Amino acid sequence: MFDVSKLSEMEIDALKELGNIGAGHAANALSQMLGRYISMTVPEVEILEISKLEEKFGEEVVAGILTALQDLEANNSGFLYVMFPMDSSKKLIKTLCGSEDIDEMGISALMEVGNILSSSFCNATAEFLNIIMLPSPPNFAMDMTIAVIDAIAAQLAEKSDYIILFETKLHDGEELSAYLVLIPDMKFFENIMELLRGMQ
Amino acid sequence: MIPLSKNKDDVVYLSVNLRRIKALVSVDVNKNKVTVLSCTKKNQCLYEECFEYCEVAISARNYVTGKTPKAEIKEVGGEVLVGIGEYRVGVGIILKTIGLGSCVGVALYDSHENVGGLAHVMLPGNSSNGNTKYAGTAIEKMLNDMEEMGAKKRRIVAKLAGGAQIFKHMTLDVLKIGDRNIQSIEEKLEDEKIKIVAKDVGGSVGRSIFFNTFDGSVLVRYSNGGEKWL
Repeated sequence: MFDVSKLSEMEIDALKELGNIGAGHAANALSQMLGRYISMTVPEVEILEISKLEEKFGEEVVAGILTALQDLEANNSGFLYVMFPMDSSKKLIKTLCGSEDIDEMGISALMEVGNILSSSFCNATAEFLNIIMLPSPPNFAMDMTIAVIDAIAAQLAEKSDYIILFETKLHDGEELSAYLVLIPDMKFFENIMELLRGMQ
Repeated sequence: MIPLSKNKDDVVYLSVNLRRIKALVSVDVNKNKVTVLSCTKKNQCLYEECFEYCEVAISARNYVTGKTPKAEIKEVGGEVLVGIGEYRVGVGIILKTIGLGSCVGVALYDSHENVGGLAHVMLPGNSSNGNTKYAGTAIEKMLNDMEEMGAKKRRIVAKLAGGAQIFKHMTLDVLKIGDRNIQSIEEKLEDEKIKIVAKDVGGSVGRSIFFNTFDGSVLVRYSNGGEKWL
């Protein structure tokens, strides 16, 4: 069994690079869609105890789009979670639909943005690792971050007490921000580490 | 001056009963600032937002500064946050857990000894290695701890909240874990012969819970701003 709480500096750097590539492509896609310049922060890799998730995310309400990642044999290999804070959600909806209302139409627009972001993230990382990753259709929820994430955490919790988070913030100046969180399951994570080691 | 059981941030928690209003407030002793955590009258209140000249806030401040308040006030101990997949027990404190989506908060209470416990259950069933992420294991361990603190099992009652279906558009069956959690908890409580006196489960909105072990009341706060007392 792979011990995630004892990753070396180098391994974490390799993971960051992987997140960087994915997030870079996602930022590019968002920028094309909105016709704006989008910048991104250097991805953070965090290994979090599941019971500490509450401290990390607090009670903020966000719009979240969740996709499950699968390989060719339809084995679940993790989740990709795109979050927009409420004010950013409204701005996105306004840019895309004209009104700020979070109605069916607005939600659908948000889901589409999330879908494009997660697909481009997926594509880029899969290409980099030379593996196949198929994203599921998006699942949408608007609630407290933890309430959204706990069903996924429960899935992973059956096997591990830790979850691995890649976190990147995309933003255009001060107006819009989005968070990308990749939550690989243990097997997928081990695969990633193996592939990355092979490259070095 | 009434001696206060201060915690490290010098915040005291008070439960205020003013006429028919029941509220839970925190008072920052140094800044003399009152924050209303919950209030039964919130929806019919004259003032749209809680502010410092509300009678509840005035009573709470009077209590802290040693003046005689108009309301009936009880001091509750500090606040303890229960993490995901954990449980905590205590006497005369507030147990809190936030962001319950498909997870379920299980509050157990013995009103005779004021012993309470709150668990944030993630998964249905039992764990083979004593992990409290699982419903059965969490309830079992929590009951043991409560009995060690003087609670009697026959007096213990349960309140449940959570198990929502957060995702509006859903293509993954694995996310439908809320119902299974509730079912598993109800079965376990029945096995242990513990009565469920109140529950607020299901739905599609995330919840946070404040469990006041002083009187056994449970405040459920929804992510959309709504509140409900159990």
